[in-house]
Parts: sequence; C-alpha cells; structure tokens
Amino acid sequence: MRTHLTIKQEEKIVTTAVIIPVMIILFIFIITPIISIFVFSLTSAELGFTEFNFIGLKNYIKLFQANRFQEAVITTMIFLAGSIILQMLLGIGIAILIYKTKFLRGLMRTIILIPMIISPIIVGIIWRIILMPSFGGLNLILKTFGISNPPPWLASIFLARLSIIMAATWEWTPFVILLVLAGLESLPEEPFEALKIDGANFFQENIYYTLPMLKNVIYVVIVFRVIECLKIFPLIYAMTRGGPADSTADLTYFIYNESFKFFKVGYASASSIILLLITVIVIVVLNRTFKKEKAI
Amino acid sequence: MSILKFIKKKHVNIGNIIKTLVLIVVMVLLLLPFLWILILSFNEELSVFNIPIKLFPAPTFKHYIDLFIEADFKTYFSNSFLASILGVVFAVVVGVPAAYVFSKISFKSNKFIFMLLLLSRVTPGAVFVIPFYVVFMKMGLIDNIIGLGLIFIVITFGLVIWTLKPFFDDIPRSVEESAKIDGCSIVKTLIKIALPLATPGITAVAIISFIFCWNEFFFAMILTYREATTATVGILSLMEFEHIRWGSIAAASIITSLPVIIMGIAVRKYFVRGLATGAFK
Repeated sequence: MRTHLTIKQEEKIVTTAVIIPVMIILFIFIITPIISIFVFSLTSAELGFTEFNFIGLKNYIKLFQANRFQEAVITTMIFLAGSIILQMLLGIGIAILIYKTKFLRGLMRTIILIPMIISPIIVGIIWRIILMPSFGGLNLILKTFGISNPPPWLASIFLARLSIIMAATWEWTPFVILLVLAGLESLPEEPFEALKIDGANFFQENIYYTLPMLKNVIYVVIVFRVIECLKIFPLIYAMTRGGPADSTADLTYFIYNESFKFFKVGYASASSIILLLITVIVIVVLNRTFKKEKAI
Repeated sequence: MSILKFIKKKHVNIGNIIKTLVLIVVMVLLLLPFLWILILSFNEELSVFNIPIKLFPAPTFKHYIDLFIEADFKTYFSNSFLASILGVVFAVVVGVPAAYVFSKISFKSNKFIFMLLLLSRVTPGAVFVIPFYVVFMKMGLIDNIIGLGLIFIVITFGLVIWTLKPFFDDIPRSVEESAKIDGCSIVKTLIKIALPLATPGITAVAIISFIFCWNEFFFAMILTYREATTATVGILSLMEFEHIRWGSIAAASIITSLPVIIMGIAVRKYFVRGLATGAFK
C-alpha cells in the first residue's frame, strides 16, 4: 500500500481531507454570515418578512443620524475605556503583589478563577442582587458602616454605567492578573536583585523595569479585553436591560433591540457592520501603537 | 554592619506584611459577591436582607429542592448539557486533525485559514446572530437543541484549533521522524504517537469548550424560547414574574456555576491559554 505514495503525495491527500471540512465550516459559519449581514444592511429587510428592497446606504445614513445609535456608540466607548483602564490597573497591581509576596500563590490562582469561569449572565445576576437599592449586599454593607442613605445603584445614568463597569471589572480583572503573573514569572530574577541593591523602591522598580518588560503581555491582555468587552451584553441584560433611558445600551444591545424587538433587520445589520468595523479598527490601532513603541 | 542588615531585613518584612494584608483584603473582596449569593441560596428569602448581616439567619435547602421539583429546571440543565456536548464533540472531531495538520504540514493557505479562525473568536456574536436567526427560521432550527449545538461550533471551533496547535508543536520532530522511518503513514503517526502525547491537551480543550458552551447566553436567549431553553436563559425566567424569587435565583446560579467551577479548576493551567487563544505559542 504504502509504496504507492510518496510522503509528499500523502501529505497532500491528508491536508486536503482535513482542510476541506475546515473550509466548509468556516464558509458556512463565519464567512457567509458576515457577507449576508453586509447584504442585509443594504436592504429594508424586516424580521420574518420575505420581501425587501435594496435601498443602498440609506440604513447607514439613518443610523448616523439616529440619537440612539450615537448614544450606543458612546456607551460602548465608555464601557471599553472604563472597564479596561480599571481592569488593567487593578490586574497589574494585584499580579505584582501576588508575585512579590509569594503568599499562597497556588490558592490565589485558583480562587480568582471563579469570577471569570462562571457564566457572564450569572455575573450579571449576582451584581443585580448585590446592587438592589433596599436590601442589596453592597448597600447593607454601606449601611453597616453608617452611610444611612446609600444610592440606588442601577437607577441613575451615571451609577448604572458605573455598576456595569464594576461588574465587568470583577469578572475580568482575574484574567489580567493571571496573564500578567505568568509574564512576571517568565522574567529573569537577577535584575530584580540588582535593582534592590541599587536601592530602587517598590514603585521605581515596577514603573522603570517591570512594566516595560511586560509590554508584550500587556498588549495581548488589552487586545483580549477589548474583544471580550464588546461582548458585555449578558451583564447589561441581567442588570439594567439597557436602562435607565437607554444609558447602558451598548452597540450589541442596540442591535438586539432593533432586530429582535423592532424587527428592523436591515437597519440592525448596518449597525452590526459598524460594530465589526470598530472591533477591527481598535485591534489594528492597538497593534500599531505597540509596534511603534517597540521600534523606539 | 550586621545591625544595618538586620534593620534592612526587618524593613523588607514590614513591607511584605503590608503587601500580604492588602492581598488578603483584595481576595476577600473578590470572593464576596459569590459568597453573598451562596448565603442567599441557603437561607429563607428576605431573612438575609437585614442589618446586622448574619451568615445563616434562617438556614434552609428549600431553594435547591424547589429547583429540582420544578420540572423546568431539569429540562434546562439537560438542554445545556446536550447542546454543549454537541458543540464540543463536533469541534473536537474536526478540530483535532485540523490542528495537527496546521502544526505539522505547511501548505499554501495555511496562514490565511488560521487567521480566519481567529476571526471567529474576535467577531462579536451580534454580528452572527441575525443571519443565523433568518436561516434557522427557514430550516425550523429555532428553539431546537441541535440548532443551538450548531451555533456553538462558532464558539468552539477556532478555540479548539488555536489552543491545540501548540500541543502538537511541542511534540519533538525526532519522535515523528522515527515513526516515519518505521513506515508509519501520517494518519498512523497521528493516531499512534501524536494523539496519546496530546491527550491532556485535548481533554483540557474539550473541557474548556464545554465551559464556553455551557456559559453561553446571547445565542441561547435569542434562538430558543421554550423547548430548548438552556440553564443560563432559564434562570432569567425566575426574574420575569412580579414576585422575584431571589432565593431560587441564587440557588439556580450556584447550581449552574458549580459544574463549570469544578471543571475550570481541574484545567486551570490551560484555561487562561484557552481564553487568550492565539496569544501563546
């Protein structure tokens, strides 16, 4: 049997046999949906109706004039900036602490998995319960400490947005911690000792040495945080349903509302394309900034 | 000199003690939200919502028993389980050989396909859901476990290939070369040598994929409404009524989380790798 095939021929056959199913799946599940969403975005299609007309870029024009869309973009940006800045600061800080103290490191690593391992919808539910105005856990604690009139967390625009950011930070800071910790552990030990001999204090050491050394890890973490932060929908759905006054409705929530509540598939598809563009642009920009710094 | 050393040493220790204390506080704060739900699930409703806060003001297993008496929740869990298994099995069957080929054989469109796979990880679900909904409606796959399992392929497929490739990369060339010299075909080398060596990786990836599917909410909420409702969607149905049953919601959250917490801890070394798909070589 074997003598009939050279290794090269065999490789070709195996590759084809394996790659064709992969291509088919990619085509059906990734490429076709993206293309069809683009086609939908040029039509007046509505959910459940079979008739629709091509209306060119009208959906996009309407979109950019719509207040709700502009707000959704702004909300998305607020969530991105707020939660990523918080997560990075906390995550890097805690990772350095764990690395320096060497205190129960294995146990810490396991405990902090919990927020990121449970379903995002459950994270949302947990925070909804914690933030309930009259008897939520947070306000009970605040009252215990003598703050007699704690705020209704999910009822005002600013606090509702802050609450979503808090929940996202709770959920994903562990991810930052674990990756940065892995990065720290891969650094050589000697420079740390040299810095100590030179008399560098905790902050000098970290700002001038540790962080620059971790640049690649930090870049990877930010990229993944951005990707994940655009999928924040379950938190919003469980905690605020986009309210109050649409202030926590990000782009995904906007798309969900337009397509499955108002059945405007064409219109929603146009915003899906914008969401996809934003995702790609953010990742490309991040890539550029970090590559540039590397050159210097 | 020795006194100086002593002071310096002591100074470092004080710093360390402060750092450790900060760390402990952080960890407690991190666990607190989850513990709060745990307490809620084991107590009579409303009893927990009093000051001063007590751990077990009125202990009960009622909420858990209620969940299992209500037939709905059993269905939710089995739906979650079946759809997740479907998503995992499919991704592993197609993904494992694919990861092997990507690792060992260089071919023309190798890089291109690999990047496309990353696209499935990067693209927000909101982009996919409308076309899937339209097609599923035509095919009668709405509110269908098989339909949901198919959707989960979007989540698991890229994950399996991206995470497994490094495991195959790690197998030294020499091992496979010697197999080749012994006359093993590529398929035989994969089955006899690569698969056994990569088994821990494959198991871990399968478990991580399962966790991702089990936790999925966005697609499950939109593409199911009664028959195929999963646990993550089912919990919310406890919130829809006028009287929100916080105790049951807490118990359901705990039960839904427990399997993935156990699985996640079992594969914790690989879990972060899986989340940061593509970042590790």
